[in-house]
Amino acid sequence: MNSLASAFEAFVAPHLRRLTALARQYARTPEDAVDLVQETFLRAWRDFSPAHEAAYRRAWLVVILRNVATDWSRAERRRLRVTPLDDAELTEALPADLSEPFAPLPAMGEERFREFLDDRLAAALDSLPPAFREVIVLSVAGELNYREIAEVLDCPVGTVMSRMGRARRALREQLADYARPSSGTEARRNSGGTERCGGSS
Amino acid sequence: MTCFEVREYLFAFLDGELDAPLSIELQRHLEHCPECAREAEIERSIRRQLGAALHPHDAAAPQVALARVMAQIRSSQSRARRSVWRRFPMGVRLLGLAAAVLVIALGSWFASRDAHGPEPSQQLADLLVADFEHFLEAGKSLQLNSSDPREASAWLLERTQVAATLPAMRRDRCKLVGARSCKVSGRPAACAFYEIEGQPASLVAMNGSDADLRAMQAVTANGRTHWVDRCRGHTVVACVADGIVRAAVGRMSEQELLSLLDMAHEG
Repeated sequence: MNSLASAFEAFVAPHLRRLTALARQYARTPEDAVDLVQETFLRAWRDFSPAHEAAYRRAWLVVILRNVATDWSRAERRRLRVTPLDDAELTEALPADLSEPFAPLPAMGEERFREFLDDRLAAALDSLPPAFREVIVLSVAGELNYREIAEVLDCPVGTVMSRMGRARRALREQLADYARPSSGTEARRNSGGTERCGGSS
Repeated sequence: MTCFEVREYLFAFLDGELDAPLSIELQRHLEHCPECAREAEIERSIRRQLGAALHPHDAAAPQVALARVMAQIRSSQSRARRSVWRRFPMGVRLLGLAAAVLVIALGSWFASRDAHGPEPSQQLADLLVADFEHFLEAGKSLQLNSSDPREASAWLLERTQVAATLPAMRRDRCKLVGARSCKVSGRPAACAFYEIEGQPASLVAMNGSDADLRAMQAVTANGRTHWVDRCRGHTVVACVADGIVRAAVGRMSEQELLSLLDMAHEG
């Protein structure tokens, strides 16, 4: 029995870093994120069998983590960020033409652009519709490819590709919006009104 | 490929999701179109920054979470074993108890025939892993916080009288975090803690000999022998030189831990 636990531990340990990164994006507090990872491992343990270890894919633990987050969210036990919109809402959320020019960002030096992203990227990501935010988070924090994301979201790979394109464009539009000092969004988000693009105030 | 098509496929291209012919076409376009190349560079910067923002820097917190889960799993396994045992009638349980006593008695007799059995080194690997787990759970209970191998070596020598000769790091991804002195099997031991690509690892040095490592698996390569054991998801790699046992413990590969040991051996 103990060797089974050891086999399980050896199986999950390499995934710990990205699962934690992902949990921090689903949860709203670091404590909830730790609980989410722990519950994910406990559920994974129930189904784990070393004989089937080769069949477990990288996405398997992420599917479980997302199910736990969805369950907790439904039960309103925790405030989690898993409320995907349906496809119709997504289609309306942004322009459909993926070949249109990207939202322009004002020219700024490399250093200044990095500061701007440091300052604004998290807020821009959080402002996206949840389903857009989620594909980016699964790709970056979860380190999953499109096929694995499709497995987690239970949708075709083509849907992931299109959603990812829209999500990245939406992120870019939000950043461009923040970069315009006079934009309504900028004014709304900086209710204090003193922060400037570039973050050096 | 046109600029319109590049915009349509750029995100999939940067995610490595385009098939080879399309990917080559897009790459060629970027080489000749400064405007699209600039857009690609902006997207790459956003990705880099996103990657840094979405990955936590504290490597110890998730390790502690896993340690807690494993403790819970192991404890529930013990409870499950006990409850399965209670399902049997009293007669069967007594018979089982008698059989267990017989097995233990026979085992002890066989063990006593070989006074130098494998138990001490098995215990040594267990102790090293337990000490390492304690270090992870206690949130890095170090007595010396230092990234300077010379300072830490001198500090450990003074405390333990063991010449740990901590290696000077030749790789950026491997760094010394700190050190503490402890006792392993009643012997003073010098413990140093490292982060290898963000993953914690420990290097322990204590006076000893091959006999301490007999139960571990011996591996001989390039005329040198090292010993390996795995315990509770951790790997222990050890070697002996000049009357000092050096052991590296962590969740990384045997090769990673061995190279840490080699650096320590070379001083």
